[in-house]
Amino acid sequence: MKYLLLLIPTIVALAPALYNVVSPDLFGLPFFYWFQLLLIPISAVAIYAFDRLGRA
Amino acid sequence: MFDHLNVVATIVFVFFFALVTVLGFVASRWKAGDLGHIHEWGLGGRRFGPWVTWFLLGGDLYTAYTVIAIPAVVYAVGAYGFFAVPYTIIIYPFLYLTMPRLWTVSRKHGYMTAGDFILGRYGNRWLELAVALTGILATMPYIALQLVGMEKVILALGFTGQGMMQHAPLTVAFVILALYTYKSGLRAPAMIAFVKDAMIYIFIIAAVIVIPYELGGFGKIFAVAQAEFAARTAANPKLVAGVTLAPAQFAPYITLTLGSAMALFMYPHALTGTLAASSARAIRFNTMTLPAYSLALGLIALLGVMAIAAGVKVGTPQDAVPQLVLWAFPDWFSGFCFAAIALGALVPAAVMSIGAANTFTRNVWKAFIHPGMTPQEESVLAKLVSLLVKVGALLVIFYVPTRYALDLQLLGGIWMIQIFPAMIFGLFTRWFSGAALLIGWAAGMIVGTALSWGATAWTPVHPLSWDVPLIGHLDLGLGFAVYNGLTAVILNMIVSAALSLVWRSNAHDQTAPADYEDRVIA
Repeated sequence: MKYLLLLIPTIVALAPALYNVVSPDLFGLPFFYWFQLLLIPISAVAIYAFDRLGRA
Repeated sequence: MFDHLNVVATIVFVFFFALVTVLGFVASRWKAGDLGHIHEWGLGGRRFGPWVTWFLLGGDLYTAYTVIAIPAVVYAVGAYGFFAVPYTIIIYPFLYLTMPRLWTVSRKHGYMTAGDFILGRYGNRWLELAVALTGILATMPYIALQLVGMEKVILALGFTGQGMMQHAPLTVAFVILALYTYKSGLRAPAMIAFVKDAMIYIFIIAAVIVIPYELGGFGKIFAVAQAEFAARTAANPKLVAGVTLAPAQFAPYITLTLGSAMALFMYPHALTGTLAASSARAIRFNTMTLPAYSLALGLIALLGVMAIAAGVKVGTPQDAVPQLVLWAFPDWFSGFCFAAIALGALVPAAVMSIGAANTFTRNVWKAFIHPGMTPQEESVLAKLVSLLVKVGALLVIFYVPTRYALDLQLLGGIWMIQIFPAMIFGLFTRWFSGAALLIGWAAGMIVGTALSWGATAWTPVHPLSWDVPLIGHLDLGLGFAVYNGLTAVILNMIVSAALSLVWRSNAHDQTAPADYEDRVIA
């Protein structure tokens, strides 16, 4: 189950159909751009969580 | 030659270049080791902790060429160039699951290259040779492209020259790089990476604050870009460009992302940077911290649309970022940014030449020509090869048009991904036989290259339908274009699996399952 932490960000990143839109924008940045940028730290945190679960 | 030189920018540029040159030579004394031994010269004695590895891998993977080329694609066609972001997202979960295993088994058995691991795991020296040659072949044009990135910023400083003199500054820079790499080995790029990465972050932070401010905010920038893309596609109906993806771009976007991610850690320079870490823990730490560079890369990609909004007009898209920098900043800071990009070429060029040199020495020369080499002899040869590799890259820049260097690099990615099955499946199982993987590799190399070799232009993606001689029209009926590297590696996997079913290998496996585990599994 904990492998979902690694799998979900990967799948979302590989599904442009989910984020290929202009609005809602953030500071004028279309959704397509800010969502993918936001996914970078989300994915890093997910790896961190996975790592903590692995060591527990 | 110097008539149009931007003097202030050039002085700042030369200052930083001189600074890292000193660092490059001083690095030989850092974390002192016997540089006459190949483990020390070519892998820094595996002594790089989490933070040094962060700087080294960050400097190594996010190259000068990336800083120039990714925004260039965004400048030219818009959203499609942003594939670099999902690409660098999906790398890290993958890295987390695989590279600590490779590091652990490599530490245990003294492997320094992909070829070393392949030989130990499958006991097949021809597969070892195939893996080694793929890495060397794919790395050469990649180093050449680092030089392209450097030349673009030297050009932007206003340096003009006739004939061979045109390449004079680049040659000087590269000779210096070659000398300190020769002397200090992997320690040199590791030390320079500190300076380079700090400079790149300063450049990016300044750029994403100052430039949108000058242009009236991101809303305005994207409105101008959207109008520009609409005008360009109206003028050229064959062009697909926009601030979001067109439906026909979905499959290429996804497969290019996936394929590029699968190829990246097969490259000798990526493996060299990884195996030089001091522990598997240091690698895991980096899978969580390297995404900071991905964020920087995503922001760099946005420079492409900013260049459009700033009205930058260039003949080749690769000039967009340097011209945008000149447009946006005072001369001294332009010089700083250009130095950051140029140093961004030095770190990967050094690691790539070391990775290729280690590979050639251990998996080609030692394996096939002089098996009795001592580690000292290996070090001598690897140092020489690192020089040769750099001279080769310089010659590519002198005599091969940039256009071809770019094509060769893309082709390099398609080749590199063909060692993925042997490397990554091999980390988890010995079910595949070496001979089967070798034939799968050959099938992938041939098909990947053939798919890319278009009649008129070189294309990285291809619809899954072909006119095959003797067989007729073959159509998988999916109706979309796929990255050639991915098509080829899937064929490679099918061939490897099918042949492994019938063709079992009883070659010696040097490794045991426990050799891959660095911690007790909960």
